[in-house]
Order: sequence, then C-alpha cells, then structure tokens
Amino acid sequence: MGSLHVALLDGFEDDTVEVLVADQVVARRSGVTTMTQISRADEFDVQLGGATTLVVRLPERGLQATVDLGGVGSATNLGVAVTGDAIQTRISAEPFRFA
Amino acid sequence: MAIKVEPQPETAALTGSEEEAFGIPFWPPFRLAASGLYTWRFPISIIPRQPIPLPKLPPIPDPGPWRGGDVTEAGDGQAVDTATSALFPILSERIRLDVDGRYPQMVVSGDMSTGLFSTVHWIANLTKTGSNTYVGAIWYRDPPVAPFPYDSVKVTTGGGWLFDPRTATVTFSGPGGIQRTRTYTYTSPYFHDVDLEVDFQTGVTPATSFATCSHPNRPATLPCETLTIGKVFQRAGFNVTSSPSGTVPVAGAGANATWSNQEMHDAMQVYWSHYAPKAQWATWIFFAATHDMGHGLGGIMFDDIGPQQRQGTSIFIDSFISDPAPAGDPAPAAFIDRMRFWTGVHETGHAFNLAHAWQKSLTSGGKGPWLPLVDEPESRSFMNYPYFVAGGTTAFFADFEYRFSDQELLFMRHAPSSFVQQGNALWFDHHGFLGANALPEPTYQLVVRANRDRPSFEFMEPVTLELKLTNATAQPQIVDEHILDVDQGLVVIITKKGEPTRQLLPIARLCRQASQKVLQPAESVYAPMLASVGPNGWNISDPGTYGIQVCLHLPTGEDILSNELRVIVEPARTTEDETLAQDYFTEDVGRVIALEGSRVLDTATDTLTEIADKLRHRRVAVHANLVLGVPLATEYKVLSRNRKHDGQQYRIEALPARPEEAKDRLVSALSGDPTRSAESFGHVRYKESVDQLTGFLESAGDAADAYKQQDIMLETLSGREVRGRKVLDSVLKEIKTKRDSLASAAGVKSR
Repeated sequence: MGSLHVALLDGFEDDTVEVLVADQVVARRSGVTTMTQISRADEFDVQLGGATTLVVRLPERGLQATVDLGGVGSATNLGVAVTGDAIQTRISAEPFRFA
Repeated sequence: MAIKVEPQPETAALTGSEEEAFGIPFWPPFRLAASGLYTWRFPISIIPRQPIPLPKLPPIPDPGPWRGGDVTEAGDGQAVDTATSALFPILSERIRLDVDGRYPQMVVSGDMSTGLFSTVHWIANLTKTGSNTYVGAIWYRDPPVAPFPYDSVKVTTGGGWLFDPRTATVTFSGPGGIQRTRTYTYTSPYFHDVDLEVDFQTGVTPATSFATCSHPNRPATLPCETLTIGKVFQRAGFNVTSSPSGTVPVAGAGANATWSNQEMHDAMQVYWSHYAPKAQWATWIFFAATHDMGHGLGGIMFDDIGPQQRQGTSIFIDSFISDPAPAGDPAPAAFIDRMRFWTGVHETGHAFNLAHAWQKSLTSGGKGPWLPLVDEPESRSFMNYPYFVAGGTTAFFADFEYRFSDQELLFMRHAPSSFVQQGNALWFDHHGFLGANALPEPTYQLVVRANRDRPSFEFMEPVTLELKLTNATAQPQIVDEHILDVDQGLVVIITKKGEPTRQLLPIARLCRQASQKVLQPAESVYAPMLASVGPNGWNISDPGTYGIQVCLHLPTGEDILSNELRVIVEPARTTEDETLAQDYFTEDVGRVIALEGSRVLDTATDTLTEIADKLRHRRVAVHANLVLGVPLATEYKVLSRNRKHDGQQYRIEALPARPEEAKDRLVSALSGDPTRSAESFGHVRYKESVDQLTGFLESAGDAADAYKQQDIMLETLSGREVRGRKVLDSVLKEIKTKRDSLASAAGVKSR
C-alpha cells in the first residue's frame, strides 16, 4: 500500500491532528473542526512507504490510536472520528462521501 | 425566484391532506383520525388572533385556575373547561395530539401563551386507556422553570364523525390534587406549516420526486407511489406548501463555476422568494451542479452563517450521488434517481435541525441535544448515510421505508418550535431530544433540592445540591448504593435563559463493584451533587436564574424525572469580588473544586488561598478552605519528570502531608461557622466532610478534636430545619454514636 487517503470526520473542535508513520509525523493539521452538517473536518493523503501501522494522535487532548493496516486488502481510505475520549478509525475501500 | 408569490398547498384537497398525514382514507361512516393540531383561544374578540411578534419575555406566574366557577366552555358536554386564570389570562393554547395515523408517536404536546407574550411548552407520553381516552406523564417543559404545576394529562377525544367537529379535552393534574381542564378545537391534521421552495442552477434538473418501485431493492411491503420531498415532510407532520421554482445563474458561483457556502448564501438572499432575516417556517432547496469541495460532497445545509441559520440547503447533481450504479444493478437509472432523492430529503432534514443518525448524542461547539440521545447508526432514516450502514447501500435500501426515525419525528412534531423552525435555533443547537420514558405512576420519586430556605447562592459560591430518591411503590425495591452518583448514569441538565443548555458531566468515572441495597416503600437514599462545574467548564457562574432537572435512567428502561429546581446566583457585592472572579472562574479552579483539591495546580491553589483569606466571611471561603485542606491531610502522589538518567521519563513522587495546615483549613471550612457550612455544603456533604476530618484527626492521634468535630456537627444538625424538614433522627443517632465512641479517648465523659 503506497498511499492512504485520510478523512477526518466527526468530533473535532479546533484540534491539532498528527499522523505518524514509522514514528515520523507525515501529516499535521491544526485548527481542525468538524462541519457537523456533513460530518467532515478535513481530508488529505499520506504516504505509507512499506509501513503496516499508522498512528493518529491529538496531542492537545492526549489521544492516540494505532491503526493496523495489515490485511486491509485494497482499502485505501481511513476515516477518523473522535467520540468522547477516544479516537475511532474506520478503513474503507470506498472513498468517504459527505452529504 | 425573486418575485413574491403566494404559496400553493402541496396537496390541495382536504382528503388528500388527511391521507398524507394519516395514511388511510377517511370518509363516513369511518371516524376521522384524532391526531392533529387543536387550538383554543381566549373567547373575547378584541384579543388579536395572531400572536404579536414581540420579544419573548420570562413567563409571568399563572396563579392557576379561577376558583369562582366561571364556565367558559362545555366541550362535548362531558367535561367543563376550568382553565381561566385568576390574574393573567391565557390568551391561546395549542396541542399536538399524535396517537394515530402515519407513524404515531403516542405523544401529546402543547403550547400555552400565558400572561403577556410568554409561552410554556410541555410534552407528555400517552397510553391508550379507552376507545377515545389516553393518559400519560408530562416529561418536558420549556422553560424548565415555567409556572406550570402539572405532571400528568388525560386526553379525551370527541367528534370525528360526519359533520361532527373533532375536539380534544385535556385534564391536567398536578401535586395536591390540582387540576385544570381545557377543551380544544380540531384545527389541522398537521402540526406545523412549512413552505418549501425548490430553485435550481441553470441547466440542472432538480430531483424532487422518486417512484418508490422503480428499483427492485426495497421492502416487500413498500407501497408503489411517486414520493415528493413535500410529501415526505407532510408525513412527518407538516402542512407543506410549495412556492414556484426558478433558476439561478451559475454566475453566482464565481469564476470557478463551483459553489462555496457563502456564494450559495448570497444566492439565497437574491433568488429565494421568501428570504427574510428572521425565523420563519420556510426553506430554500437549491439544486446545483458542484460544490467547491468537489465530487465527494453530495449536498449540504450550507446555512450555518449569521444569526438566522438553517434557511437554505443544497444538493449537487454533479457529485457522487450521480455515480453509476454498481455493475449488475437491475435498475441503474433508478439507482441514481433514488440517491438524488434521498439527498434532497436528507439536506432538507438538516434545515429542520435534524443531525445525522450517528450524531444524535454529539455535542459540538457547546451545542447539542437537550438530553443525551441514542445514536442510530443502523437506522433506516433519511438522516442516515445509506453507504455507512452494515451491508452498505444495498442493505440500507432493502429495509428503507422512506421515512424519518421515531426519534426524529418526535423532535420535528413535538419539540419547542424554536428548536425546529428554520432561522430560529442555531444549527445543531438543541438538535433533537430523547423522549423520556416516564410512567404515569413512577417507581421512584426523585427530588433535587438546595438545603436552604431559598435556593439562592452567593456569587462564586459553588452550588451544591442534594438528591433524594424515594421508593414510591408499595413493594421493596433493590437499588445500587451509588445510583445517585453523577458518574453512574444520572443525566443532569442545567439551563439559563438565553444560553445553551448544559449537561453536568462527571469529573471522573469510577468503576465500582456493584453494591445493592433494599429500599423499603417510602424509604429514601440521598446524595450530594456539585452542579457548578464539570470537565466541560463552569455550568453555573454568572448571576441570574438557572433551572436544574435530573433524569435517572433505570435498568428497566423507565426514566425517573426530578422536579425542576430554580437556583438563583446573586450578583457580586463588591468590585473586589468581580476582580477575584476573573481568576476564580477558570478551568483549573473548577477542576480543583470538583476534585476536592490539588497539589499540582498551583495557580488555582493560589487563587483559592487568596479568596479564603480575603473573603473569609463569604460562603465561597468555606469551599476554598475545604479543597485547600483535603490534599494536605495525607501523603499526596504526583507524577513528575524524572531527573535521574535511569531511562524512565517520569516518576511518582510522594509529597508529605502537612497536617497542621490541613487541620487549620478543614476546621475553618467546617467548624468556623458550622451552620453556614452545613447550609452551603448541604447536609449530606457536610456530614461526609466532617467525618473525613474526624478520621484524619483520629489517625493523627488528636481524639479530643475528633470528638469536638462530631459534637459540633451533632449540635449543628440537631438545630437545622429547612422548609419544615428536620435532619433524620437516624442520622443524628449515628453522629451521636460516633461522637460517644470517641469520648473515652478524648478524655470526655460520655453524654
């Protein structure tokens, strides 16, 4: 898997979001806020190289989630949402659509 | 369209309207459905028939029924209307009865215009008890501190046969046997009016209808018909009118020919015939080609701009909603039509303040539901994404009945109009509510109260309340000992006029082993509750009046609703108070108060020390002394950065107790003015804190002072009487036993 499309979904409120691959920050967004009427905050691509895990973290909230990308087949889309005090992730073969 | 037009009814014929509202044909000899809008107006012709659009003022207390026996209306001959107020006339009333027809929610709700330009909104769940009678408990009032003393209703419907006008007689009942009865006249099969205007970008074909059987993937029982967006909202309870459609030139989208939210908002102001910067039951539905976000955005309720939001919504035809059907789909054209139609209704639903199905419990930017809702990630509702459910789009439409969920229908039909009406409440504020499952004869009585004669609190004084849960049945009940802890499932709602509703959240959630106790009939359990602050900040800070209500959800599914307590926060007395308040109402100070102390949040501790010293005669000082003293009483562990080079980044450091300082602070908090402390902490928390101090003194070998603290508490609580209530003898006996057990060690002769 070369690249992954990351969609930040529900639960973000002026957050900083970092995506790490092999302990390196490969994407960083600040001021991330969800538009609740479409459940979308931001979207971007990250390069995975040969990594099979990826970390999403919200450093200001002390939240972190590790995503296992092994065995996800052709899925190239990662949805990330914050529910309560936890980061929820969802791997999808289809791009995330909003309405 | 820029021209002003008269709206046209979506379905002109009355019988057609009734069919949409209730889904079955009505003609004699069948009786017409009872559901619909019923009204009553003050029977004097000089009273304006339409409400005068003046600002909403606080409700003026209605002194209740006129006891003089003036009969204003005899209804169907069975019930007599006795609702005339003695002082302030009730100018008009409406009820929405929802017991039959299309998607009945078994609910009645009402609006009562009391006094001068203020209204009370109430909601009750109903159970059918006869062919035309229903009973149920009132579980919602807006405003929550409204002078509306009723907690249950009985509804009797009348008429409905040929030439026999429909009526609904409602008997309201409250504590002490108080009752009022009102007979209402049937006005409409719909609960609200709304106008939908569909405009479209030049060259774009709007998708406002769908033939339900054009695609074979559908429920076997789904009727074959051509649905329209208007018809869907008629079935949700709205009298839908539609203004003529018109075109919008793509030039409004700017040079890139794709639309931003601001560009659509600008277009709405120009092309929507109903546009006005005010709340009104009307929505602009705009079919366009593409949004700036591109193919991945199928539609958006773009109007979260300015003070009047949710007036406009848009659907993008050149987006994923027009993507070809999957290979092998039996009706590819219908697949696309269906997706476009779903998007049209979905976006229009947002204009009615409906959130996505999986967002029902979500609070964002301080805005959310009034009570935590149940998320519905698998619901077959227009407000869910078909491609988000298990099994994807195919699974969704296999079970989709082209409707909203019950939770959404309850909201649109029965929530206070201001939450739903376009241009009124901001997007996502009060975006839905849960129908509390309150029974007419609840298992328990739940009371929230302040342990003082008037629920008035000094400025900066933490508002500590008491909860009392009483077994209201004739049978023993088993309850968890921690049933009244906020972190164990209590829902506490705090409202203040003009501000978003807040929920009191627990500062921490404890995982406890279940510990149950038997509650005999009429026996009660008690718990203190700090309402001022939680992890989401200060709930109660500024001077003013706050409403507080608690909902206890039982494992059986029953909801126990408390009374609505009105709490007053007094203004600051001096400019020094106001200056200190700037440092006091911070997140860290709130956290220290909620956690009963800290030895790491130094700035907050400094602020509380300054308050304890400078405002020593104020009630906030006793709270400050308590939270300053508690963490000093015992050894305190902190996580600190490790300065040793042993590979560990952090280490746990134990700060030694400072017993003398702790004793000074705690004695000052609890025994300096014990009556003030008992009143400010509430009896339950006061006793818990004195017992904590006693234990600390005992472990320090100071039996004499330990005895003294129990003795002071016994004397204080023995003398307390709040609104005619004394402290329970069992509690006083427990304190006396504890005190006497310390007597010999303290060198005191037992009394």
